[in-house]
Amino acid sequence: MSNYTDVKYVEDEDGNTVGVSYTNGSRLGSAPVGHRYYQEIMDLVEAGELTIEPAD
Amino acid sequence: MSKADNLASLLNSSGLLESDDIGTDAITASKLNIGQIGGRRNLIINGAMQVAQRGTTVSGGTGSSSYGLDRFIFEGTDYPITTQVTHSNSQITDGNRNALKISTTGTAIGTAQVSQRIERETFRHTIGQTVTFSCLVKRNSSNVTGGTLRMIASVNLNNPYVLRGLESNFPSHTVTETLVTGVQNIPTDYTRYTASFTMPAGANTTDILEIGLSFFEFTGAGATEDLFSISEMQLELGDTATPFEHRSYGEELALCQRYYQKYSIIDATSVFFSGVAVTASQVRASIRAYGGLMRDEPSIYVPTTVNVKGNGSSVAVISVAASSSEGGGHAFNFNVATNAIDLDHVYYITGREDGGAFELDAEL
Repeated sequence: MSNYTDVKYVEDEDGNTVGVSYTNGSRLGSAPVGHRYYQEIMDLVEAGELTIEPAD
Repeated sequence: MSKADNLASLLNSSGLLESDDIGTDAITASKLNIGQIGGRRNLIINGAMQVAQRGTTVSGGTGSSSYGLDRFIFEGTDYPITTQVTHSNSQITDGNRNALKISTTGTAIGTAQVSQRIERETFRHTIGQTVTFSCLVKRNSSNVTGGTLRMIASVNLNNPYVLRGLESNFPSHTVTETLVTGVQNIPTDYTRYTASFTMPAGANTTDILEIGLSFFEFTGAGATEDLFSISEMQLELGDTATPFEHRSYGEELALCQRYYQKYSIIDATSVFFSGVAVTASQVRASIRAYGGLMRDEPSIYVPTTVNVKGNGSSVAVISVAASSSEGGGHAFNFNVATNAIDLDHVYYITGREDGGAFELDAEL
């Protein structure tokens, strides 16, 4: 089961959200908008099990 | 002599007509290369279970789908029974054949499913037509009983990014064919099961097809046990299961890498990608995937132990961010500490220790 931590939005130069970045165990990851990992994270957020930090 | 008499004279003592009796070169390869028997029939990728980029054993959790052998999703569930079960998806060698093995590290009660998702552009020509699914299956456990072995096919996954592999989650446009009633009746030697059906159109032009096997609601007393093996999965146009279409390992690997790629880190000096510092804390690298661009923008995984190296410095990557396709590659930003690198200089993305891997994932 995925264990996402340090989840942040990723924005492009124009400030549009283009994905999320995260840590999953001993791996750094990132998924673009629409990817199944992105959807999985959004489902966790909707379930109140995860929060996403703003983009750096 | 009538034409009927002429034909009858060609029959042998068994009442059969041999090809040599028709005439020399009467049956040629070009005449065989028609319709269903022609090449490139199999719509399933990695049906011979040859490619295992993620490793030959992948474990999945209860009630969630995982990718195991390339292109195959597997899922073990407690639905609707509450006993915990965890299935793993392993590649085994059985004589001259590879197989996908379903095993459990818990008491096997519930449903286990192995399936593959296929893009609409790949199966669109079959919509409304008869297609045939075939697969080799054998039972490895003497403890499993009850339930059914089913072929399932659904083209109603209008959100391909949500993993809902279980047939209980297929709402409509789904075809289910029972292959065996009582999984204890699956032989312990490989048996080829087939099912023909009319490919549904689905509800949306973005729908994908998910097709595979469901070992539905069986029970088993064993724990940490091999349950079933699967090989030679094929889906083809037509009403007859033709012999399994073997493709070379290289062909299958290339097909799989459209969806998933893995770059293993051999040692701490491995160099993977090069990029340019677009800020004093970010390197943008355009990754040239094997075989060109992948199916869609991929996600990326890198070990927490990778560095940005170059221009006399070597600093740890603290996060990675998906960007966009540019310059014929998939672009990613590798972030390091503030002011740790110099703007507009070229850097390499390297491993910092042995092991680990970069992964690009554009699976459905």
